[in-house]
Amino acid sequence: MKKPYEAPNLVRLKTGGMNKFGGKPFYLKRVRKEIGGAKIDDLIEQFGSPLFVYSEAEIIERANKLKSSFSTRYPNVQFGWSYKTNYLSAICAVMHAQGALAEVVSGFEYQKARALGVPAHKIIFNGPFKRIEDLRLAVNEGAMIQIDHLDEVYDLEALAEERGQQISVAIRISMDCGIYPQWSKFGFDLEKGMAEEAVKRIQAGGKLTIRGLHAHIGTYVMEPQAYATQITKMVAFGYRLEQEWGFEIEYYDIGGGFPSSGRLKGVYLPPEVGVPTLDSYAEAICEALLGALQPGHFPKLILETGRAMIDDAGYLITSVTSSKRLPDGRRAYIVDAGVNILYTTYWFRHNLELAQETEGLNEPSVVYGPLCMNLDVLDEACLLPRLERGAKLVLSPVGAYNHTQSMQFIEYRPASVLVTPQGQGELIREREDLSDIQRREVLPDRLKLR
Amino acid sequence: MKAYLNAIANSYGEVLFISRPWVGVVFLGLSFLYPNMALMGLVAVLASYLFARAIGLKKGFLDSGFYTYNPLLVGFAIGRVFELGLLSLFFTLIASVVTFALTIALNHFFTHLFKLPILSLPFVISGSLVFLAARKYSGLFVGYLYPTRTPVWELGLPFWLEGYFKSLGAIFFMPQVMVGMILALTIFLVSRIWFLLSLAGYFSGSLVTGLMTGSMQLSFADYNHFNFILIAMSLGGVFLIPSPKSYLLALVAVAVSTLFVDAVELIWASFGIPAFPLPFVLVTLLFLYILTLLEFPLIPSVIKESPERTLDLHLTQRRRFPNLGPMVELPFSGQWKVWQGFDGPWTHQGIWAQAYDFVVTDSRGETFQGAGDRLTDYYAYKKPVLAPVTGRVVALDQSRPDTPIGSPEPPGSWGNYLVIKTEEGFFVELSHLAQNSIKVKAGDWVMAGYLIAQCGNSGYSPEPHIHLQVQIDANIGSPTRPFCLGNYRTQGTYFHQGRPATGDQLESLIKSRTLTRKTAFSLDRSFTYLAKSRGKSEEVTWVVEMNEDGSSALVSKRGKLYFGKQQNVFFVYSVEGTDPYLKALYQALPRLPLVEGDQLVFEDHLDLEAFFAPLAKGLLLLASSFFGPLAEVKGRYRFDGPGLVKGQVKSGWGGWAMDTYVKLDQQLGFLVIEAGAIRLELIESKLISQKFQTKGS
Repeated sequence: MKKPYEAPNLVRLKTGGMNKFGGKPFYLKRVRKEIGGAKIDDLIEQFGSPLFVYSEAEIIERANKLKSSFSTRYPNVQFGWSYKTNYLSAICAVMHAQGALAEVVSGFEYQKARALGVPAHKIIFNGPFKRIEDLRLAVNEGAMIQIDHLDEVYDLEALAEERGQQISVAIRISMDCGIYPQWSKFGFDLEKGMAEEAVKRIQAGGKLTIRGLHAHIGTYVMEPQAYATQITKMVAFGYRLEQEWGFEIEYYDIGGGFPSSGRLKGVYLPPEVGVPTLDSYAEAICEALLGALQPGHFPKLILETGRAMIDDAGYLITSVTSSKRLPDGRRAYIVDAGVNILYTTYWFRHNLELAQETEGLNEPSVVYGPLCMNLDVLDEACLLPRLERGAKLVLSPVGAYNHTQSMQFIEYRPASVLVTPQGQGELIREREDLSDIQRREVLPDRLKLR
Repeated sequence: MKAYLNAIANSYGEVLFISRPWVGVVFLGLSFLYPNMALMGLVAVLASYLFARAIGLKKGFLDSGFYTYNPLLVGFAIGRVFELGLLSLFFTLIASVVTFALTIALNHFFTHLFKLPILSLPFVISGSLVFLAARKYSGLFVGYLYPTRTPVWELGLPFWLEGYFKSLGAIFFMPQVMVGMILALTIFLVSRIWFLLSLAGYFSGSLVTGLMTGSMQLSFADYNHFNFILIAMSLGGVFLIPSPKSYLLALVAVAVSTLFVDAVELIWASFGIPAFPLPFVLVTLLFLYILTLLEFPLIPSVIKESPERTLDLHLTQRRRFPNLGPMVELPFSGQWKVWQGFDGPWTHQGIWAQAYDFVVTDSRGETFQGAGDRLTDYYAYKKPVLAPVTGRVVALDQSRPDTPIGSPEPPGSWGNYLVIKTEEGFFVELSHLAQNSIKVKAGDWVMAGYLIAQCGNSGYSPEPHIHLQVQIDANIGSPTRPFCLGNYRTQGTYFHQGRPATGDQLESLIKSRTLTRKTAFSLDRSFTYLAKSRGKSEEVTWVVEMNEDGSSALVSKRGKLYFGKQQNVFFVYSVEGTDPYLKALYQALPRLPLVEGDQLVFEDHLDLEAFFAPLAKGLLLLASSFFGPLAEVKGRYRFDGPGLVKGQVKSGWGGWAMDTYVKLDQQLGFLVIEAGAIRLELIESKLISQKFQTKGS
């Protein structure tokens, strides 16, 4: 490719001091002109800025790799799409087309999955908060229920009584897998004997049949061996359930929590170096699983991989609206995407890529969002060449948790686009307008402005 | 009592290979045109049964007329010559006992020694015996010889047609046109294939004889030409599966038999013995013997009551259970691609032609990520290798290093390998395994699905892959032999066994404990269904019973459904009787793969028996004896959710189709069964006591 022209410039010579960016940050520019074959300029022109863009090809590639990585090591693997990670209908549909179950954690998410056409038996109903009417619907339709606490057991027993037949359930357990923090909000603790008590209670009730075990040890877990410990403990407990209480455990749902290539703030090593490959998770989990299981017994292994599946396939394109010089001499840019639509920016330092060739040397810069709030900062310290108004930046990975946790605040929420494997941008969510906000509001007559 | 009556009727039908009581009754009635002969025949049959009871023969022999049609023929032969009386009766009695004894003895002898049927051989022997001995029995001759009054009904038919009917009648010692016509009509009603064979056999045989002797008139007037009919019917429609080849063989046998007919006639006649079906017996046995010896592919494994039914069963069996050699499960987990199959272009050639190579590919179709110049770039590398069969590890080597990409060892090097000898005695070899990755020792017993090694790149291997073959012994480099892969899914469809092609993506499936439990039918369990069919509804009960051969069946008042499990599949083998609801189950679920597989599609072939009205079915089968695909009925089924199977059954000809639906019960068996207009809903499933069952059935 022809190198872009750069105007000559005088810079003070610095002799190779150590820097944590590696390479030559004053010249390094990362440029991304297209996503999945669709030109960024065209996308912005067509759908406006800012814009969430997902690459279908990348999702499929990721899903296939994950599936292959696990299923070639263990013969009975099933993925569940964690709705809360990103429940845009089109994204869920792509996941389901790849064979994923729906993993939902509320009545709303359950309804969303059903509305999308997911049959109830392919929905895992998880989470600590299930209204009785949500549970009733899920039970009647035959969804996979994963019990979080004893009150839920009582609710389900009441429903079983109502229906006059047993209900198949799974229970969620928690345990020490050697990582910090140990999650204890969810499920019955294994080491403290709470899981055993729950099983005894369920069996004494005689109305529920346990056919699955679930545990989810954390999020962004960087240690594959933690999962090995988890599955070993789960299978051991599963065999106790089979032998001591006569339940037949059909599946082990080990939750999610695999990291993406997002760069956590305060972590020195870049993710390419510091984050283990997904293959190493697959290897640790499947090896431990095969070791823990009796030979020839292959219960279903369910993975609720969310972040690792979608994060890297999501991009946010934003445009520079203005720039200024800060008192400390740094350059500041105000872009049209703020923290209200980029929730994960509190934890992650997203990759910042230029959407066009830009001349000039990099200089220390700050990227601010458009909100009239002091905390609306997208990147506090980055090196960028001088950007014109209207220049576009690409933030990534932003596929996980951003859209679902984004909120309408000061600004409208932007449109979302899915780039097809053929490189076409397809609108999957329109940009909001005033009607979206007004629709649910009720202005009492007496307050109307006359 | 009914069993006895049926058996007696069948003795008559069996003369023409037909075991249907109504046919027997027709033949019995027909024999009373010659009352004397008819009575002697009946006496002979009854005497045989009495004798059988006296010596304690078991129930089984009552099932058909197989053991008594020879005594019947002897009875007829005597009755044709001697009048009914005390002495002639006694003579018949001892003759029938001898024939019966000969039947049992020869049957045992022939079945075990030659794997051959006895046909009318006992009758030929005892008949000759009786008539040779009778030459000395002046007492018998003086008192009982009577001139046969031959009723004559001439219809003025052409001589060749008259000859056919008379020859047909001669089988029952009644060479009459009318008798022949009734017999011909009966044969036609039972089986069009037999009817056509009888015509073809008679006319081709008589034509040959006519040409040889120079007189067509004489040839067509010879009653002994019934032998041609029997030979054609038995070879073309009983002992061989109906097909153009079988028909041709039958006609060749008929042509050959002309020599026998004429030679035998001469010798027997010189002793004054009426010519018997000796030519038929000799020629049929001779042909069958050599065909069995050569393992002729058209010899049926089961002979049913008509050629059509045998053909139907055979065609279905061949489609449902093709013989592809020993079955080997996939040696891996997940989805792998067939890189090279049987007779592959690179290395699967010569004595090693029957082998499979497997690799893992991604969505680009590549087997590696990154540059592909390191072993670890390859998806297959170090992936688990699972035991594809249950058996004993008999040989292995894991000392060889994994060679770098692009510089394999010279061709012919197997690298690290493992040989497992199965219970059935064949040898399965896996090679190019990773160095020091084998997790078993020589002598270890492994079960299919055990983790035994890791995929590697040792030996002559351009890139990491699993090589699988079945070979003749435990030595590395031994010649391969054909086998098939089992229990996998390719392009969404389940294969219980099959030979995938190069490039096919294979997904290994694992056994479902749930489905296995739901189809574990124990004896004496009864299922009561509410059966609805076109507005009509009734309660039906099925009971699980064990058959004499150890297989299981669901038994209702009107039929029997045979089922069983093979490897990872629940099979309905066949349905007997007239129960439409059992047939509905067969149509809705002829097989059920006991594996985990969402949206799994599986196919099966059904026999025509369960679908078409008798006449249409008969004609379709007659045509399909020439062209097999005509009689194809294919079912395509899909797992439509947990315990739900939806399907559609279609005929290969005629565009006939039917939708099916099965919902499995939470615990055991089938909750709802739908096939076409029939719907069954389970009302109750319970264990019944043995006592109750005996009383009920």
